[in-house]
Amino acid sequence: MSETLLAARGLGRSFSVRRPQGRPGTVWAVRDVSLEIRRGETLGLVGESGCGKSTLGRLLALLVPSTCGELEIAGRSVVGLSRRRLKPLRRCVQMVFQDPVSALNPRHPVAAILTEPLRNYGIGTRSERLERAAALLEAVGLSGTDLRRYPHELSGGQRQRVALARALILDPGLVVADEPVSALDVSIRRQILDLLTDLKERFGLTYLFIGHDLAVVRQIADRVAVMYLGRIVELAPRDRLFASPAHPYTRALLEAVPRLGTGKRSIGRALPGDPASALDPPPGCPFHPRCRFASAICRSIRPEPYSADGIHWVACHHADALQ
Amino acid sequence: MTAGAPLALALRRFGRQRLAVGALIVLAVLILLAAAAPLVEAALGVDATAVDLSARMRPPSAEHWLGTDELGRDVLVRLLYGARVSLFVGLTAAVAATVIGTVVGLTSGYLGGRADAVLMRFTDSVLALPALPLLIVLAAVDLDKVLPAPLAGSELTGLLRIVLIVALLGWTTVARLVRSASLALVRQDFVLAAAGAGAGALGIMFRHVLPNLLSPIVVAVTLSIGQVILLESVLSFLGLGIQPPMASWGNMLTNAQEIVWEAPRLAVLPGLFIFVTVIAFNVLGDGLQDAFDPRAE
Amino acid sequence: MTRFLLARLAQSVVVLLVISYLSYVLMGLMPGDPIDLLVGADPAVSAADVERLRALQGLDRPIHERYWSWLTAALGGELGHSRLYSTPVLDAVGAALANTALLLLPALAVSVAIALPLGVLAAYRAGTAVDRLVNVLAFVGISLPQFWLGLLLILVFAVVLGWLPAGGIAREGAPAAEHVRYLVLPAATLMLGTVGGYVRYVRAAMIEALRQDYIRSARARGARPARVIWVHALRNALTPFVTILGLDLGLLFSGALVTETVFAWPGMGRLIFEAVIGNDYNLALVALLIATGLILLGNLLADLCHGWLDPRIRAGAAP
Repeated sequence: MSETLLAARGLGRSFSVRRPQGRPGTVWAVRDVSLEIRRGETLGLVGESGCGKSTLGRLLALLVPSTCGELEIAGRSVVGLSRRRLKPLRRCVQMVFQDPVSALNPRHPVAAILTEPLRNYGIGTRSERLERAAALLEAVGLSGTDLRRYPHELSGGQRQRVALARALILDPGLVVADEPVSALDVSIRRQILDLLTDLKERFGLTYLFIGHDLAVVRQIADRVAVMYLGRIVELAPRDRLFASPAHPYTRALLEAVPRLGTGKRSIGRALPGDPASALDPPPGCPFHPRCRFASAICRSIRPEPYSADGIHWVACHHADALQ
Repeated sequence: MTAGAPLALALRRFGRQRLAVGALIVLAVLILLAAAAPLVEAALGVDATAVDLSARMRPPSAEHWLGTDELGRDVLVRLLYGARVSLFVGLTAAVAATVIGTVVGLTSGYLGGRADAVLMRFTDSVLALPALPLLIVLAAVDLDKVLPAPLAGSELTGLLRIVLIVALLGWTTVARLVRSASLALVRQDFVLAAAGAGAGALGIMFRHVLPNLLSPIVVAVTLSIGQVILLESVLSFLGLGIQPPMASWGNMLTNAQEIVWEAPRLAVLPGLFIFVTVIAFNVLGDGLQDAFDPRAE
Repeated sequence: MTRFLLARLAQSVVVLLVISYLSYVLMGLMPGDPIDLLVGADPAVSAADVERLRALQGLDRPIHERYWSWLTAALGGELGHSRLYSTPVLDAVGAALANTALLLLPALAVSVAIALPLGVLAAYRAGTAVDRLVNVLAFVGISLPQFWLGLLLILVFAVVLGWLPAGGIAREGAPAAEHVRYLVLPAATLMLGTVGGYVRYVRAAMIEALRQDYIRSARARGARPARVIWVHALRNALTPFVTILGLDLGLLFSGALVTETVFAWPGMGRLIFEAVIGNDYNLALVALLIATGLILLGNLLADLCHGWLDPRIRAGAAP
């Protein structure tokens, strides 16, 4: 088994919100998540919108502090570190966002966008930084002359390439890509996905690839984690998961895919009903109100993630019976 | 800056708005005239403050192009000196109000949560004050009771006091504007990306948030200059602002009501200057707003 | 809703207390306190007399103590006498409020009656010559100094044409027409001073409303354009406009100060001005507080109207 790059144990993140009646409440966007990301792999993370996958991505990229749990990056614990101690670790994980418009500061030319991270870390002289920026631009398929352009002069695909170059400029081990192609035209998606694969090989990267489009995740991921209402309900190697899904939720998602054709529609439509509100999660298994296999135990006791072989993890009381 | 820079784009869009460009020209001429006030005074051989009761309310002539006022002073030169006062007070008070408003709004929008709630509650309360009556109370305060004598009497103190009073009540609009704009900005991914790329909180505020607020702030300053000039003229008109013998457009109108029967010119001219200046700033601000508006693209 | 009202009330009380304290302190910084005035009137008063008088009136005590005794007296209904008007303070304020209302309500009514159709027209024809013309006129209205506008109106209608009185108010018991004659010029000044802002406001709100999806779909469903504008869009545009109107109504009760002063209209703004200039502290304090209270009331009314006009907020009460 390869080396562990990132490990989370019992990671959680809550937000305080105002309920409709005006009383304050707490929402757990991510709750009790344990996972490992191994050096060199691509871990896919799928789930309906609002399931907490973006928040989990931001937690792992150290952009949002966790409320509870443990998080280690390259063997070092990051929980409770001061801003100053955190800064060198932040370099190791960089993020690519879904919306290429809001991801780039419209006031800055590409050169400033790409060199700012180097400046923040005091790397190189001005001209060295520009050189590196130009080199990375070429690596993502743009040219050095694009350094002088502003985001609004670039197409969506070009912007996403710039965002990728910015993520890579600090030489991170791990890149968290939060639905990097879902805001792009279908014709561009292929190119960006190929670029991601290409960059992974050239720079020896590890990806956490977040998506709601199963077809896309299937193309790129080595292992896939499925998230529901802030928790990971199933985690398995890609082929295993797609061939023999163990969790009823995963099965529902997969059954929906062929009917969706291009996979353009969000997977949320594939299931009857809406996910329960994160504000008032149901007791027992969070999925039971929508689950056709739900029994008495599902309504009262929450299933813990369990694995028979240490490879395929699932949190369901009836997983064995279903498989 | 390349041709593609957002600023250059905005400038090009601004150039297409004839009305706003016209306002800019009017203001440029006015600023030049105000700057040249002492020169005009010397060239015409008149004195802006010298009282000459034998030459009261003279009609326009070769010596006094716009005639004289009720104390025999040259109206044109006093109008030009009044322009200095109005522009100085307008500019400094608008900038001061904008600085206060930007600090409050940015802090509120960036920090969010409890700090935001407290600051906005405070801003709302200031908005619920009877501004004009309070301005009058503040302007009527006897500086001798607050400041040491040499300071209390000086002309500059008189000017700065008006600036301070107006700024003290005028920052709220900017604060709300900057807050809502920065709230929207802070949610943008590039702010998060900057944090992930090692930028500190201050760096994010000054490199990423503030520059993107520049256009609403510039618009706010421009629009509030007009409001400030109006307020200053009101206070001076009521005898609580700029004190004679220093000329201001407002205090030139103080006595106009009594002599409107004899010399309507004295009631019309200073007001016309106020009106033209204020409308020019308002049109300019509106034009800038359109030029900066991304939806105009 | 009750929660909201209570929170608003608490905030209002805090604002009023802060303002009363600030005003009290500021009044003390005005030129000439009552003793100074007394000394000025009678040169025979000695320094010892002054000390005795100060102690007698409590002026030698620290400011917060004096404020506290003023506040307790005021809460007990003891608001004092006006020096200028020689009446209980509340009588003077009451008369001024009535006069301001008489001036304000017709002025605002006409202002709104002009601003609504003009703003809607400009929004519907956004970008055309009509829109630009309305916009320029609105800017003219916003940029006119009200006291100067008043002077010009006096110059034209009172001095040159001699049609209307230059200022003041009709004697009590005079025929209604006489009251109207005195009212026309100051009301017109106020109207012209507010209408420009309202036009721009209605225009902006209407443009925003016309952009909404449901307006487009109403159009697509074939609703008559007039109905789309006047029923669907205007209803939405009215909500923010009513908020502004509520705020303005409160603000103008004391903010019509300049117009009232130019036209010698014995209203609330002029009362505050005269009280401040004439060292009538009792009157100035109470009038300022009532002015603040009216603004807070206007805010509240605006919020209530807002909730009533906007069905989303009404529905929000019962999910």
